[in-house]
Amino acid sequence: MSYFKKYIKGILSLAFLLALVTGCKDYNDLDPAANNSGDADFSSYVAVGNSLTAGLQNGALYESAQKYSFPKLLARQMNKSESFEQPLISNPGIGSGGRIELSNLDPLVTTRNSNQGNPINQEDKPFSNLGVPGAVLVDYMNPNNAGNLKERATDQSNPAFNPFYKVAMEQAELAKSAPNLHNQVAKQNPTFITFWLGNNDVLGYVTSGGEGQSITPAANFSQLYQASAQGLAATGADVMVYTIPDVTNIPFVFYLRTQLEQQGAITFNSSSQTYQLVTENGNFDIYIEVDGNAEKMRQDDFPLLSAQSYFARVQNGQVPPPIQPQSAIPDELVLDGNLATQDASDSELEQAAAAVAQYNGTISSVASSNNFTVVDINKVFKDIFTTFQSSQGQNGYQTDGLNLRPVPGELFSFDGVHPTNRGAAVIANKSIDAINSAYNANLDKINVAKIPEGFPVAN
Amino acid sequence: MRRLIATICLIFLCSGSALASGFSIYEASVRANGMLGAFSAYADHVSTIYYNPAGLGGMDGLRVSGGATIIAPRSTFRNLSSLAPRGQKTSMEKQNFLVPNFYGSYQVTDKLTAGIGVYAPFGLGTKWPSDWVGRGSAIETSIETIFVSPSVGYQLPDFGIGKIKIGAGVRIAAHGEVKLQRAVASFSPEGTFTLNGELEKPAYGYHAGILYEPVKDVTLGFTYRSEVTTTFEGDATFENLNVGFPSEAKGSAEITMPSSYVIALNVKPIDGLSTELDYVWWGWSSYDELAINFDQSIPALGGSTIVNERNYNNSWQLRFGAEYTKIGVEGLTLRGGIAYDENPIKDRYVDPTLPDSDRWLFSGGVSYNLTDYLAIDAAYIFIRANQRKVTNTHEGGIDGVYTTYANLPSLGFTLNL
Repeated sequence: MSYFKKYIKGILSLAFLLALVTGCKDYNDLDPAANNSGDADFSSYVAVGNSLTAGLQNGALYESAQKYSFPKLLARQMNKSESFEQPLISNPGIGSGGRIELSNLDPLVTTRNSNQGNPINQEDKPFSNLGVPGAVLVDYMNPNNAGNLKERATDQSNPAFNPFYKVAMEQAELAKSAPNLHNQVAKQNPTFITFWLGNNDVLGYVTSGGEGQSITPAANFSQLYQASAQGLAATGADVMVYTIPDVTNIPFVFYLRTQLEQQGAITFNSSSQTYQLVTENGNFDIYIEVDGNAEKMRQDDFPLLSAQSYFARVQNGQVPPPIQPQSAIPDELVLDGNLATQDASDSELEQAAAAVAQYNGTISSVASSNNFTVVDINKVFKDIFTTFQSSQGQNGYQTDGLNLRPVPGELFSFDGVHPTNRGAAVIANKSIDAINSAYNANLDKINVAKIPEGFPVAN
Repeated sequence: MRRLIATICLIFLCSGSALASGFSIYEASVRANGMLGAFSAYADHVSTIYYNPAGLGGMDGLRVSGGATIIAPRSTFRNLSSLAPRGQKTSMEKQNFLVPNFYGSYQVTDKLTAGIGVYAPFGLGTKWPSDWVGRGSAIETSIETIFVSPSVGYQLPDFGIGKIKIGAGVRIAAHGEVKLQRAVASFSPEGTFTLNGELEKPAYGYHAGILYEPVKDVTLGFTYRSEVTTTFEGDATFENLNVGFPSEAKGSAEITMPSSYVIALNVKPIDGLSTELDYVWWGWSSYDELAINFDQSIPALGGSTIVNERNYNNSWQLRFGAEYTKIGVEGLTLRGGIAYDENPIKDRYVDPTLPDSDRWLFSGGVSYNLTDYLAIDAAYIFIRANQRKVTNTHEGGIDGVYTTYANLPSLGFTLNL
C-alpha cells in the first residue's frame, strides 16, 4: 500500500508542479514598446513634406493610401502610430482629375473617379503628418509670404489654389499674413522630424512638359533650404532630410515611351537616331513640338505619362498621327532633351536634371553642416532604375521575396509619380536604415510583402 | 443500425471544432478524456475502436457508448506587424464546438468482436473579427469531419507467451465541411473571399492495432492509422471584388488527414489502479500546402489556383492517464491525466487560421454505475498552450503573439449488455 501511496503522491505532485509552471505563467509579459530608439527620441515625430510625405497615390489623397504613407509606416515602427495623426480624407480622396482606379485587370484599364472625398479628422490638428501635396520649399518658412502660400491656400480664385493647405494646416496659421509650415511643426515640440521638400520645385515643370510651373533657381533653392534648416535646427529635434529623385527615374517620364516601344506602336531607328511611329504604311519619324517648333523625337525626348490618352486617340484615328511637323505631339506632353540642338539651356530634361543635381548638392551640404541625417532617395531610385534598364525591364527592387519594378502598379502607383503602399514601405525601410545607422537605434524593418497593394478599383 | 448512424450524423452536422495540435481531435471518448487519451493499451471500453481496435478482441456482449465533448477554445492575438499599432490586441470570437462520439460492439464469437465507431478525429474552428488586423490571413476558418469506422478485433489463441489481441478497421471520412474566409486587401476597397466546401465523396483509410499482455497487469499497445485524403468542393464567392474576380466560382481543395501511430504501455500496479503512458506520433508533414483550385482562371490570381504553404512538421504527444476504481464509493471510478502536445507548425507558417502552439493538457474524470449495465461518464480537460510569438511569418501569416487556452467538458454514457 505504501508503494501505491508513493506512486499517487508522485503523480499528484508532478501534475501540481506542471500546472504551476504552465498555468501560472504570466501571459502579459509581452512588451511591444521595447525601447530601441538608440540616441534618437521618437516621442514627438513630425513629418514635413509634399505629396510623397502625405501618402498621395493614384493622383489623389485618400484614407486607404494615407494609412500606408511612409511617415505613418515609420511611426508604426517607432511604436508611435497611435499618436501620429494625419489629415485623413475619405475615399476616393481629393485630387485634380480624380483618383485613378482600375476598371479592368487583364488587360489593365484605368479610369478616373470624378467623385471627391471629404476631410475626416480635422479636429486632430495640428497634424503630425504635415505633408501637403503640391507644397514647395518656400512654404516651409515662407518669409513675408514670399511664396504666396496664403493666397494659394485660401483664395479659391487664385490659379495656383491648392486645397490641401487648408486640410493639413490650422486655420489660425493660415489667417496669419505670412503663414508657414514651420510654425505648425514648431508648436508640436518635435523631437524627431523628417523633412522632404523640394520635389515640386522641379516636378511641376517636368509634369507639365516644361510648360507650367517654372523651376526654382538653384540659388533660391539653396537660400530657402538653409533658412528651412535654421528653422528645423531651432526646434532642437533630430532632423532627417531626403534628397530629390532625378525626374528621369520616375515612370511619369520614362514609362510611356518604353511601353509604346514594347507594344510595337513606336520604334527607335538607330540609323536616323529618331523614334518612329509604326504604321501600316511603314515607319515614320515622330515630331514633337518644342517651343513652337517641330523637332524629330530623339533618344532624350520623353513623351510623358500624361500623353497616354493622346496616343490612344492617335491609334483610334481621332488625332492625326504626329508624323508631320504640323501634327507634332503637343509641347506639354513631352519632356524634350537637347540632342536636337546640343544646347543644354534649350532642353527641358537637362534643365530639370541640372536643377535636381544642384538641389541635392545643397541638401547634402546643408544637412552636413546642421548635423542632419540624409536619406538619399535619389540614389535609391536611381539604383532601382539602373537595375530595371539593365535587365530589359525585368528587375526592380528586390525585397522580402518581391521584385518591385519602378513601374505603375509595382513600386509606383498609376499616376507614375507617387509610390504605392509597398513603394512607401520601401521608403520607410530606407528611412529606418538611416535612423539605425545615424542614431544607433534598432528599429525593425517592415516586411514589404506584408503590406497590401491596395490598388483602388472602380465600382 | 443504419437509422442510428443517420441520426448521429445529423447531430454531427452542427459540430465543428478546434484544438489539439494541428487540427486533430483526440477527444473521441469521455472515458478516454478523463485519462487524456492515454487509452490505447487500456482496451476495456468500446471506444477502443478509435484508440486501438485490437481492444475489441474478446470484448464481451453488446456494448454501446456515446457522448459529446464541448471544445471551448479562447485565443488572443497581439500585433507585431507593420499593419497596425504594435501590441494591439484582438480576441478570437468565442465559439464552442460540440464533438460527439458513438461506439457499438457485438461479440460474434468468443474471440472475435465486431464494432463500429463514429467520431470526429479532425476539425478546427477559428473566427476573428472581420475588421481585425489579420483579416488578410483569416477571418473564419472551419473544418469538420465525421469518420465512420467499422472494425473487428480478435484475441489470438494462447501461444504461451502472454495474451495477444489484434484488430483492424476501415476509416471512412463520411462527412466533411470546410469554410475559409478572408479579406482581400490587394484592392481598395477591400473585398472578401469565401469558400464553402463539402466533402466531394467519402474518403477511405484504415487503422490496425495490437495489444500484448506479456505478464498479468502489464499491457503493451500499438495502433496505426493511415492517411485519409479528402477532397472538398463548393462555392467560392468574391464579395466586393469588382475587378479581377468573377462574381462566383466553384472551388475545390484537397486536404490530407495525416497518419498517426501510438505506442502505449498500461500498468496496473495495484488492484483497482490502472496507469497508462502513450506516445502518439502524427505524420503532419503530409500537410505541405493547401491549394484551392477554381473552375476558371481568375485574373487577380493570375491563374486558377491559390496555394497556401503549410509545411507542417511531424509531431508527437506524450499522454499519461490513470484510473482508480477502489475509491470507496460503490460504482464510482476516478480518472486523471496529463499530457504534452507538440505542435506541428513551424513559426514561419503559423497563421490565425490555426494559432497552434505546444501545450500542456490536464484532465479529470469520473464514471458512475447507475445500474449493473449503465454508467454515466464525465470528464474535464483544461488546455494551456504556450504563448507563441511569431515573426518573419510567411506570405499568408501575420506577425504577433498568440495566447490560447481551452476548456473541454464532456459527458457520456456506457452501456454494457
